[in-house]
Amino acid sequence: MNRAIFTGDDSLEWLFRSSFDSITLIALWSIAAVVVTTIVLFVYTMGLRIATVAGDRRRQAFLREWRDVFAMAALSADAAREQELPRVSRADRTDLLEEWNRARSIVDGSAVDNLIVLAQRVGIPGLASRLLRRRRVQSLIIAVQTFGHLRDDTQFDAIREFLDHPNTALSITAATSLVEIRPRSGIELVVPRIHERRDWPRNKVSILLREAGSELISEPLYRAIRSADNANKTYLLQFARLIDSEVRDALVEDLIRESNEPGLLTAALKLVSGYRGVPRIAALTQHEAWFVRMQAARVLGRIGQEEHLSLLEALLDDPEWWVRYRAAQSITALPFLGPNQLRQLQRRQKDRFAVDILQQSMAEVGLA
Amino acid sequence: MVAKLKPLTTHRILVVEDNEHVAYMLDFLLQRAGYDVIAAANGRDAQAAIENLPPTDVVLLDLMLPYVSGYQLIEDIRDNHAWQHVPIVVLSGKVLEEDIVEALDRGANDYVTKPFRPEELLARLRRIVADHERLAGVR
Repeated sequence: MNRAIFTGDDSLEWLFRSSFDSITLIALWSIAAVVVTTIVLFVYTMGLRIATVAGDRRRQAFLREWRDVFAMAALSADAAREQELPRVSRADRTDLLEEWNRARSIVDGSAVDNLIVLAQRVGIPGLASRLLRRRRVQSLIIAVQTFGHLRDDTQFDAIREFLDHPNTALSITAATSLVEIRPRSGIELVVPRIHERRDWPRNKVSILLREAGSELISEPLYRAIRSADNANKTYLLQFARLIDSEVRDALVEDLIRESNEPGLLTAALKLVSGYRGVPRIAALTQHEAWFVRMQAARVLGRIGQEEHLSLLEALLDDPEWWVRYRAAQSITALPFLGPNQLRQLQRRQKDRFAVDILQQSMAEVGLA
Repeated sequence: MVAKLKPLTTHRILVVEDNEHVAYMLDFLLQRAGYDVIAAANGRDAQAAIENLPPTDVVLLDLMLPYVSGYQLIEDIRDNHAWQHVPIVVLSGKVLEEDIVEALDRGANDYVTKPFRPEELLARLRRIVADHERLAGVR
C-alpha cells in the first residue's frame, strides 16, 4: 500500500514537474486574469455609459422642463410671477443659467421684463454671482452674459474689469453686457476699443452697436472715426452704416474731402447714400486707384444727376474693365435716360470698349 | 396676457428656423396661439415641404439657413403654383436696410427682426393671415 507522505517540498513540486506544465499553467492563469480584467472593464464601461446616458436624459428632461417655464414666462407676465417652478439641483445650476440666457437672447420687449422677473424668483442673480468668483473663463462668460441680460447695475464695475481681458469671447461678452446694463456709459467704454480689439467678431460688434441704437452710437462712433488713423478709420467705417444717416453723410463728406488714401476713399464712397453731393467727385473719377474710380462710378449712378453724365461717359473707356462695367451699369440705370437716349449715347461712343460695355449692361436690363 | 394665448384659430403655419432654441420658442408661442405648426430645420426640408405638402396659411421664415437660403426659399414659394399666394413673414437677425429691402423685393410680405417681441409677431401674423383670407375670398 502506497502512502503519500506530504513534505514541504511537495507543495511546490507541481511547479517544477516539467517546463511544459508550468508554462501552460502560467498561460492559463494569464488568460483567466485577462478574461476577468476584460469583464471588469466591460462592466465598468457599461456602467459609465449607462450613467452618462441616464445623466444626459435627466439633463435633457430638466432643460425641457425649464425651456417650457422660460417660454411661458416670456409670453406672459402672470406666468413669470406665478407659475410653479421645478426644482434645481446643485449640478444643474450652470445649465439653468445657460438656458435662461438662451431664452433671454431670443426675445425682446415685454418678454425680456418677464424673463427678468422670473430670473429673480429662480435666484439667477445669486447663481451668476457665484460663477463670477470663479477663475474658469467659461464660468465667467456665463456670469457676465447673465448680468448683462439681467441689466444688473450692481455688477457694472466688476464686468468692466473683463473688457480688456485677453480672451476674446470674455471681452466681447463683457462689452455687450456693459452696453446692456448702462447703454450710454457702456457705449462710451466700448466704441474707443473697437479698432484696438480687431479680434472681436465683426458681427458681434455690429449686433452690439445695432441693439444700442443709432441715437446712442452715432456721436461716439463719429468721434472714434474722426480721431483714428487711416487704417483704423477704414476698419471703423464698416460699422458706420449703423449710425444716424445725417451724421453718416456728414462724416463721409468730411472724409472724402480730406483724404486721398484709396482704401479709405473706397470705404467712404460705399457709404454715400446718394441724396447729397459728393465732394471732389470729378477728381475721384480720375483717381489713380481703379477701385476708387469704380466706386465713384457706382456713386454717380446712385446720385443719378444729369450733370454727372459726362463724367460717367468718360469712364466708359477706362483701362480697367470693372470701372467701364460699373460706369455702364450706372448710365443704364439713370432715371432720365430712356431706351432711345441710351442707344443714341451708345452710338456716339468712339471707343470700341465703351460701345461693348454699354451693349452688355443694356442687355442685362433687356434693352439690347 | 395668458388669455390672449388661448387658441383662437386653427391656421397652419410653416416655420423654417435652424436654431433649435428659437424654433422651440416659436413652436411654443404659435401652438398656444392656436396655430398648427409644421417645422423645417433647414432650407432643404423647407423645399421638400413646399413640394410635397398642401400650402399653409402663412410661412415664417429665417433667412440664414443651411443648404438653401431664405431668399431662395422666398423665390421657390413664389414660383410654386400651389404656394405662390401664401404670405411670407421673414424673421431674421439681419437688420440692415438692404437685407430687408431684398427680402421684400423678392416677395416677402413682412419682415420681423430678431430678437423678436412675441406679441408683436403674433399680431403681424394675425393681420397677414386675415388679409390673405380676404384676398383668397376675392380670388
